[in-house]
Amino acid sequence: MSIIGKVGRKSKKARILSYSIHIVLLIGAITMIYPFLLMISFSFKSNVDSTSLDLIPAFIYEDEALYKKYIESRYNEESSRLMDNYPGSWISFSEVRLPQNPNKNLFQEWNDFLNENPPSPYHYYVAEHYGRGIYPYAQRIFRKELRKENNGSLVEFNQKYNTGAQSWEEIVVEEKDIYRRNFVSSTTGYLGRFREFKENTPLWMRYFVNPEGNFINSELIPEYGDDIANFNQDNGTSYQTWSDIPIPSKVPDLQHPLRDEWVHYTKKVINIRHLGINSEAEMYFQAMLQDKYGDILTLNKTWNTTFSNFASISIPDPIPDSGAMVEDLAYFIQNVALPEHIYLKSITADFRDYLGNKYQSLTTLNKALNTSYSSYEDISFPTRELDYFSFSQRKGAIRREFLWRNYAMALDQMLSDARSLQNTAIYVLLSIFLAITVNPLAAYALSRFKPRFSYQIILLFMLTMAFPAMVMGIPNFLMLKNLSLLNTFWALVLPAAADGYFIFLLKGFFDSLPRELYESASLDGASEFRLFWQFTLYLSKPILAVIALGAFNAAYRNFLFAFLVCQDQSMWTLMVHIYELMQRASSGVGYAALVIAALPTLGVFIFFQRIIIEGIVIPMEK
Amino acid sequence: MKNVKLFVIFIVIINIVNSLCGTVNTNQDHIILKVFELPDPRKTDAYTKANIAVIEAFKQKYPHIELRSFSGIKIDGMDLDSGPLMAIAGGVAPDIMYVNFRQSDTYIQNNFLYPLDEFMDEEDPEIFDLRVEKPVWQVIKRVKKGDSEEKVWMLPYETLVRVLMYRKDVFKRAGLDPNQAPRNWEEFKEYAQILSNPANGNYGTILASGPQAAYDWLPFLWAAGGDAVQYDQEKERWEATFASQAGVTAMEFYLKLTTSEWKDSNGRIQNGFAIREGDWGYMWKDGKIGMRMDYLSQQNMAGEYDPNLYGFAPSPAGPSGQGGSEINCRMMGIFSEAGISNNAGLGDRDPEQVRQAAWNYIKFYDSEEARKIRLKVMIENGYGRMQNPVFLKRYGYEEYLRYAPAGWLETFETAMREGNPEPYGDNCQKVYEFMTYPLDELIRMDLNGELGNTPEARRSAIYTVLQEAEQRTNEEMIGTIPDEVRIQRERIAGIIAALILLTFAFTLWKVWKILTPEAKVTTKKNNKYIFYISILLAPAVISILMWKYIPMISGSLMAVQDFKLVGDSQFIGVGNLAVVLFDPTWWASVGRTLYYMSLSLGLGFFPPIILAILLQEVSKGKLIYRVIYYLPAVISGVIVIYLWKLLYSPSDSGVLNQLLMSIGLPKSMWIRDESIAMLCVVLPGIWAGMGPGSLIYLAALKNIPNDMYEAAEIDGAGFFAKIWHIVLPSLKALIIIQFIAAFIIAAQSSDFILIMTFGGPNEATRVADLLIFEKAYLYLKFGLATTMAWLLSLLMMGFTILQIKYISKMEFRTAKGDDK
Repeated sequence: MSIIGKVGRKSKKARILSYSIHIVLLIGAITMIYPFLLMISFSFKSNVDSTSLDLIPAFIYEDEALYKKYIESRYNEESSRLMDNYPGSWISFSEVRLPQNPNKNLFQEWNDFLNENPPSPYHYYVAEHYGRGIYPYAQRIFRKELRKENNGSLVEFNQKYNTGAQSWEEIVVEEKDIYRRNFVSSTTGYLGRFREFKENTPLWMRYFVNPEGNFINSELIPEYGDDIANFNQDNGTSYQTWSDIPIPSKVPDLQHPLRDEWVHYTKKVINIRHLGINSEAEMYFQAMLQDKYGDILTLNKTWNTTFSNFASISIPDPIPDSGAMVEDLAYFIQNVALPEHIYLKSITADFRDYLGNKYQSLTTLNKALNTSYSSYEDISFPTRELDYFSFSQRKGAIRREFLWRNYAMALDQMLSDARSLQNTAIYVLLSIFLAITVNPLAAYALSRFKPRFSYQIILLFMLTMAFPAMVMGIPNFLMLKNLSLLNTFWALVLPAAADGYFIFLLKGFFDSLPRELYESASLDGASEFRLFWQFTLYLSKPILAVIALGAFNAAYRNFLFAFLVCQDQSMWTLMVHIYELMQRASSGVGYAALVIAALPTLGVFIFFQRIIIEGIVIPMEK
Repeated sequence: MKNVKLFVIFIVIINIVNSLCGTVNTNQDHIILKVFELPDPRKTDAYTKANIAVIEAFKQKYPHIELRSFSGIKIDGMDLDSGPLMAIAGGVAPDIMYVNFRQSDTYIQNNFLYPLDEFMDEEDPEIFDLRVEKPVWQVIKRVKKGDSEEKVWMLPYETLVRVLMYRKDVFKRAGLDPNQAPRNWEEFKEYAQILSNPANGNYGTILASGPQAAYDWLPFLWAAGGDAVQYDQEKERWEATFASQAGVTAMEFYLKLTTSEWKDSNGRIQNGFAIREGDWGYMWKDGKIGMRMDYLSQQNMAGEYDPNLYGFAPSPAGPSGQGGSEINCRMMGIFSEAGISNNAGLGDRDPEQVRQAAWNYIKFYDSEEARKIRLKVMIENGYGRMQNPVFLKRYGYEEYLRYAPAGWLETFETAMREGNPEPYGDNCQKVYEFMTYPLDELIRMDLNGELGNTPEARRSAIYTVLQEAEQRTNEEMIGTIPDEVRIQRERIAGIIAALILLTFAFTLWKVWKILTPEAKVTTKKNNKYIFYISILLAPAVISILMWKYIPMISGSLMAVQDFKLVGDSQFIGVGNLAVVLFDPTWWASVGRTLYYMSLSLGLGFFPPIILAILLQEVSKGKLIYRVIYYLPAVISGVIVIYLWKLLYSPSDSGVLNQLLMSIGLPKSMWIRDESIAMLCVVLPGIWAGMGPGSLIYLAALKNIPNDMYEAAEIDGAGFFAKIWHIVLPSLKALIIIQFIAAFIIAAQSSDFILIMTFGGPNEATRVADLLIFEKAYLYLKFGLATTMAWLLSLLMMGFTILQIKYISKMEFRTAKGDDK
């Protein structure tokens, strides 16, 4: 049964032919499989490793690749924050390397320091809390808490916090640029609830605002270019790296190379919670307020305070979260206060003081920490240690997290917010059910009873094949709309319930069943129902399976029609949801969704491949 | 027993379905109101906070109204204005719609808005005087075509005027007085010139580019005394009027700003003093640009702009002696079918209650109460002095008046007095696009020196271009076509319509004939079973009639109607056809469909046949190859497309690009490259269709008896000779029928293209099918869309006959067994 005859197979020519067939098929097979493997591999990836085409993602077997991914997620995909904490070393997550000799003692000290001096929400970010089109770990935890508190009801959530959230997906707070002047942390409402969550995060779930690194990163590097040599040359210094440059906490002298940048940074950029204001400044502040408000009553009205006169106003510590007073203070710092009035309150400086107090001298400190600092100023912000030990202590969990999180988001999307998996299951079942009832019934009636108008009915069915599909789509849609069936399952299944072609096919099969069997069966007293059910359908199982499979495929793959008739989120089918998801989710999540969506069809193929192969209908000339 | 089980399953399914789409709440008092947008609670800026406070107050005042914000599905690459229209079609529209001036006509003429008069009559008219600035009334209160009475269709909730905004620090640096904005065109040009220094990245002003570029020409047109569209009282219709002497003057000045040749400090030749491309939003913030036109709002004035840094002044005066300021409003209207057709996911709602709730919201959102709340929040956040002084005075915050930035209120009031509302006439949604055609053309001509040397020649050249554009605007946007042209077009359309009818009738007749058995079979009378027969046939017959025949008829009717989703549709005969036949975009898209078809058939039809032969002949591993090639069929179309989108990524890290670069070839833009985009769209289908397509041929190959090959072998036939003489002839019938089917399927390609490119880049993949989709579901021009569909299917009808002819001649067998 082949073109190459059995005899011919052994000839040299035939062998070459045979090899070339193999080669062509092999190349083709690679182009068939490769994209699939790529899809699976991509479904575990995030931005930082999305450019490599490896079929097994490197983070599974390599620590450094995992570390890169972790740091990317830890810094909420904000490379500028990474640059703040590692000034001058890395400018993107792909450059991140595992640190050499991280100092565990230093990490421990930092831990103790933070335990004794709990930082304010203006000092740290929640790690792994947001990203582009992904639900990172902390975000999922936060959402889970809120879900639990509100018994899984979004309505309850909205009522409690006066919000208008449409889906759980919106329940996230993206705290960006905390160091910046206009960042506000609120204690009330939904934002207040997030603050509560934030304040209860463990140390490894935080990364810190580093004003000194941020200063280098946002003021010095742009000015001098990436190269530290330019800085050294201009200022006659000899720093090895950017992070070696000590950042003064008080305004530097007029000649100091950092003065202009320092003034700009403190007056205009950094959040006022990272600044201290001297008491001499108070006088100026009061004068400014007097000029602005004229009388104390106006001020009290705006500030919601009860000062008796301007002289009694003092600068509050800590500075409140919001309100006109904060705005005025920010205005004061930016436009009125002298540089001498302000000083930088960095958390690193506090840490140094803490170590100084604890160890009294550098020697004991160096000994205890196994370091070799020559001055307290050398002690840098321990980001490296915090990042590394947060990673190394939870390595296994982190690896699992990255294997899981794209799928977690895709599934969460499909099961809870849009329920597209459930919708698709119902849709598919309904279509199969209708396809294998409506069509066989009609075909049976025509085949068994051969009514007089038989061929007219068949014509009625077959004629529809001549109707231009393009013209039909629009009135079909409008009819569904007029019947108020849009956004219901009926809209999906009814228009395709009966299929002229299927009926025609089935009738042919029923016709081919031996008539004598029917006759003898009815002589034996079998009812019409039994004849149909136990006999006809039983014998036509293969063709019914084909039709069921066809209905399954048509329903499962339906995109455009489902997209039009079920626009409401609660009725999205899987394909529609994937289309929507692809527009906003990260590519990793998108591919995870594709893999999930490919599973049902793959399962059907594996379990029903015989039916598929045997059910191929070949037209043959009569 | 089995049937009982099945019955139970059926009942369960029906129950599930009912519980999923059944009524959700029947509580009379509680009502859900869908608003187009609600403030985002995550934002912490003062403006959002103020609006959140207003919403909170609303909830307290009307606790029975539950607010939901609208969230519709979007198509990647779809323009913003069409989003709400698709939602209306899909039954998910919000109850309160956002309306702006340009869209208002589309909404009113399509009956999407519910008149507000009945609600307004019950209120104190004074509240509307406060809320609606005088020039805005003409926009919100107007006559709908075919009506006799003026009605109010929407109410503004934020009134804006577009004025000159400038950066004081940029002025100061350039040596200009930061408290003195340019007062007229001459000064404006002079300032722009002084501020421009492209060598340092400095520009005088911003003028928009892209398809809506004319947005920045319109203020000059007004200042010159002209207008974009005007209402002709006599003819009772709108007319484009920008090709006037004022239009020429405005264009001359615009060209001066964009094309004047001069040398910058580096000695390089520069054109114009405005930046048109690039990230000007960032550059503006960064202090690289001196002036721009921007909106002042009635309540917030310049919002959070720091008055120390930003100055505002009336738009510079043109030859008319006045500046051209655009007056615009954000407005709200009630969706006419609120509570009727947009209840998806909300359960049954009483339309009257929904409308009442919607009115409460609209009324409250910009009521005095709401304004007071907003003002209070803004003041608490330190923006007190930037608020509208009139409001400050009215709501008891006079103490802030002293600190109000100089000139803001005067600028607002002058602009409101002198300004013109943004065009709101017939179809004005598209007005900027139509005005941009001549603008781009003239800029190009001027840069190439094609406008003539004398001022007179220039003016007349500009006038000619403007006049052509004006005519096009009148014709295509407003729809005024000279009578004789219209009559001629309708005549041609009539002929074509007759042709379509004939072809379709012929098709039906032919199919009827093909399917009618030659000899009349006499069947026994089965009156006994007639009851059974009707019961068994009923579901299928009803379904076919309902979903095939009725749509067929209504679809035919739609093509001769100006079909409206809401309200009555008018009969317009061959009007739609006349429009489509003379629409170049339509023919261009038909051309693309043909291109798509030839590509997908030319490249995709034969591979499955070849693959089938190869799979048949391969000596080892038949099964594994077969499974591998079948894999793409396992995933559905949407997934295939996304898989390929991943491969096509135009960046350096794209899969195919990495492959190209690894063998030393330059990277490609793939689906973003106009010249190969269509090919890229076709390929995934071929890739995915090869394996499953080959199965049917494989099965057919098995039916070729071995003796035939053996006989040929004895005759000395080689491999290819056998294919030619035995295989192909045996498969002929199958190949023909498969080709016909492939042809018909190839004409319908919108699924793939919609996801892959949505017609882009630059319309390179906008096939006819997609255009029909857009016209129908994005622009709701169902009449035009069905007409197009008819025209396109004309192409297919011959093939349909062939297909049915072949099918009727064939016998269908399932492939039996596999050789394992």
